[in-house]
Amino acid sequence: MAAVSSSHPLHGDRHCLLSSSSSSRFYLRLRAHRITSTRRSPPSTAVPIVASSSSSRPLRAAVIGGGPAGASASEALSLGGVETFLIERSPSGSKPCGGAIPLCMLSEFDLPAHLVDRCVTRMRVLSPSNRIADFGRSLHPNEFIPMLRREVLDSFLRNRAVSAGAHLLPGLCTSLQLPASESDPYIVHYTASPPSPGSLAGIPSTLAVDVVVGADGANSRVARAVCAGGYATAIAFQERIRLPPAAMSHYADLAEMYVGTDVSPDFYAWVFPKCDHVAVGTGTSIAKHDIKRLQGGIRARAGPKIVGGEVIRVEAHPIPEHPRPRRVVGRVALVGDAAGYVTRCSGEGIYFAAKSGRMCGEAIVRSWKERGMVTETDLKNEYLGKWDDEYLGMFRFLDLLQRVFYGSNAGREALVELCADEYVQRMTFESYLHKRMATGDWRKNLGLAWRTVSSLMRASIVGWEIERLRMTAVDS
Amino acid sequence: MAGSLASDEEGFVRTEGERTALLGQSAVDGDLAIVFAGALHLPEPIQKMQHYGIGGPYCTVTVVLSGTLKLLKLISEAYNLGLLPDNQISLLFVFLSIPSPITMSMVFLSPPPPPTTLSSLPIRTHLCLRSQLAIFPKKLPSLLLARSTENGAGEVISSATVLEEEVEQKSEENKEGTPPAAAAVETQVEDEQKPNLESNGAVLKAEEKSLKAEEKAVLPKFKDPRWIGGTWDLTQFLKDGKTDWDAVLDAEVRRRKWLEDNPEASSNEEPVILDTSIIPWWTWVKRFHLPEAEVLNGRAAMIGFFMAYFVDSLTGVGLVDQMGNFFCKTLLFVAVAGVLLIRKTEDINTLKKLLEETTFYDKQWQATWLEDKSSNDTKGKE
Repeated sequence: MAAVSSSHPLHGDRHCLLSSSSSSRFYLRLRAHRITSTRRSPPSTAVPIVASSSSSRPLRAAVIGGGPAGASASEALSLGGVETFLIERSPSGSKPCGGAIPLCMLSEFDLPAHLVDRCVTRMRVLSPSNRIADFGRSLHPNEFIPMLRREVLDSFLRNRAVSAGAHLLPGLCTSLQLPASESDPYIVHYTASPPSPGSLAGIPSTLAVDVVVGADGANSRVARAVCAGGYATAIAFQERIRLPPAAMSHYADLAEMYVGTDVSPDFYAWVFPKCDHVAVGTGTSIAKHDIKRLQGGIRARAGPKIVGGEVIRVEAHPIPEHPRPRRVVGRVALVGDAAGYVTRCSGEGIYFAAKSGRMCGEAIVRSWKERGMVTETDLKNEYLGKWDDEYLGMFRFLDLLQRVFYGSNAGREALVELCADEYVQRMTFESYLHKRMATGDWRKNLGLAWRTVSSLMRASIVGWEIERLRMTAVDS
Repeated sequence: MAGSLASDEEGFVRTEGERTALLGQSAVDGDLAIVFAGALHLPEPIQKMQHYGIGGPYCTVTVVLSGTLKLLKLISEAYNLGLLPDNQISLLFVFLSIPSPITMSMVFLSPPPPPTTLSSLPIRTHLCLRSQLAIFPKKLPSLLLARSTENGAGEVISSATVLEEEVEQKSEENKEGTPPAAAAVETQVEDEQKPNLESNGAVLKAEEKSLKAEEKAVLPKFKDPRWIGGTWDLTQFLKDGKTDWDAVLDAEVRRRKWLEDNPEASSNEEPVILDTSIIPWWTWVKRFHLPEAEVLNGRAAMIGFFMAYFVDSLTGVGLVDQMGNFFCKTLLFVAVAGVLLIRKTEDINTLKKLLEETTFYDKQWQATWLEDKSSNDTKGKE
């Protein structure tokens, strides 16, 4: 124990920056929750697992998937003295992703500035009738939305985890063998990538570990192995288009969001700037078969601004719509996309993946140090409980927003009308950039509620009138 | 006798005979609330409220109560004049103070017919009587006129839309169209087009399609002479020196319908900056609230009457005493809320689905905890 305590996160030099206040906040919240919560699982009388505080060997953990979630989990585990194995199938691959992260992620995860490709300070939302709401007006001078390339971010986080002591095993996890009893380890079967690039066949290998963190994304194999249940997914489809310099300058610090049935029946379409090209894409959950038409729709809507561009890549990826029914099963915890932590309405997943990975890692470390064992109950209370407490409200709210404002053209028009309002913009930025549910002034909130209702009413009335016109045109 | 001749604000002078005839016809005309408002010189605000259909059920109650008082006065005057025999007064008072077509049926037809024929009866009489009632005070004709204008405008709009649809179909067929064909379509539209330019870019769409037939699919743009700089030019919507907000709303409705059918590329040069909040609230209310409020008002009144009758027959408690009871007040609240929420048969399913959807996301999040509670004793369930 003495050997491992010196590398405890609170004492480690590297993590002076990782605010000790946030860690102490964790402990304070933990104590508060122990007193007040009623939703916790009762403490179990579990048989101690393989590694305990009395045994000489440290806890062994396998993290399947080396994206932001996996890398953060490995880092947190390694810093806590856990022997961590990070299995990643393509360490140099790039993922189809918008690439936007909230501002707080830069400070919370100590990301250096050179990772950021662009600092977006202007966001534009366009309604079906092309009404514009310019979102940049209420940004403070030091606020922006960092845009980066996933391959750059992922490899940085992975390298940092390796420096903290994690063992990176390039390879594809093929199956997970569940333990026969509480004292048996999990067996991870994976195909290790060949060390020399010439050879074709991978090397089948196994790994025996005490705890598994499943961070392998939307098609998680770990989730399937532990029967965590499925979830509804949306599909995000995007084309990377290289524009001529004149057109690219328009998007230098501008990101656009388009709403309308022509671009997506239940989500939004986007034009996001990347390092030297733009990503033009759309997403949908209910019209996946029609995705090509929707992509055509967004290209038409962006119209003259992307004309003359050259498509350099086409990519698509499933996005989970809600969490899996079981996010912790036995001593396996799911984090990131594998767990389903993607917000609705904005489709944001990078920050929540990294944060959940870190929270899970820290929960494992804490329960191992305090009790000498890690059980399902520990994982649920320490990791899931805290996660739900902190972010469930935000996820619920965004789900409500998506249902109200993305469901119909009337809702979308009302959304853009409201987005033009300064107070709405300020609240949005507070919540998005700093991941805090902004509270604001109660008087202004009342005013906002009133304006929301009246915007929705007006847009609905126009919608009904349009329907009426259509019906009279059809009848006659 | 001269004292019995009263003139209302607009200077209409009516005899008592006319008034009784009015009341009789108003009973036939199912919409007593509106009739009371006009015929019984109710104060201006209440008339305005009726005109705009604000607070339907509440207005009915207010109007009925004040109308009842006035009615009492009227009946006493009529009695003084010897127009009404004694035994009919109480009867008249009871029936005319309750707004409902069933009253009319009780008065004019001895066996009460079933509700289905009742509902059809007043509607038909409603429609033909309204056009014939010339003795209504000025406010009511204006109300009727407003309605007919709206309907007329609706017809005009719909005909213009039909024209648009035809032209659009034609122009779509003539995609690679020869200029003469396009010109023919153009002239046809121009001939039939109304002078105040209610149709939008259908003409220009035909032009553009013929000119740019060789280029890749270029979406036609929405064009309207009143749409300037990304918003409606209000100076072109003047009517009698004031902005005609109804026309603005109509134009915006048609613009959005056009854009829904023909999504347009966004442009930096002419950003759309229109905000619908420039259209004042009463335009919106008139457009939507008035007809809806009328329907719901009638429904709430009918339900209220039946409930009052039912409770009275069961318990013998009269209407006034019922209103003092908490349970009855709750029933009234439920009735009004139900009428507001459930307007069509599909609404019940819609509300159920809405409730399910609202809680679905939450259920997904709680799923991991619920399973833990239910399988607390059985461990290791995979």
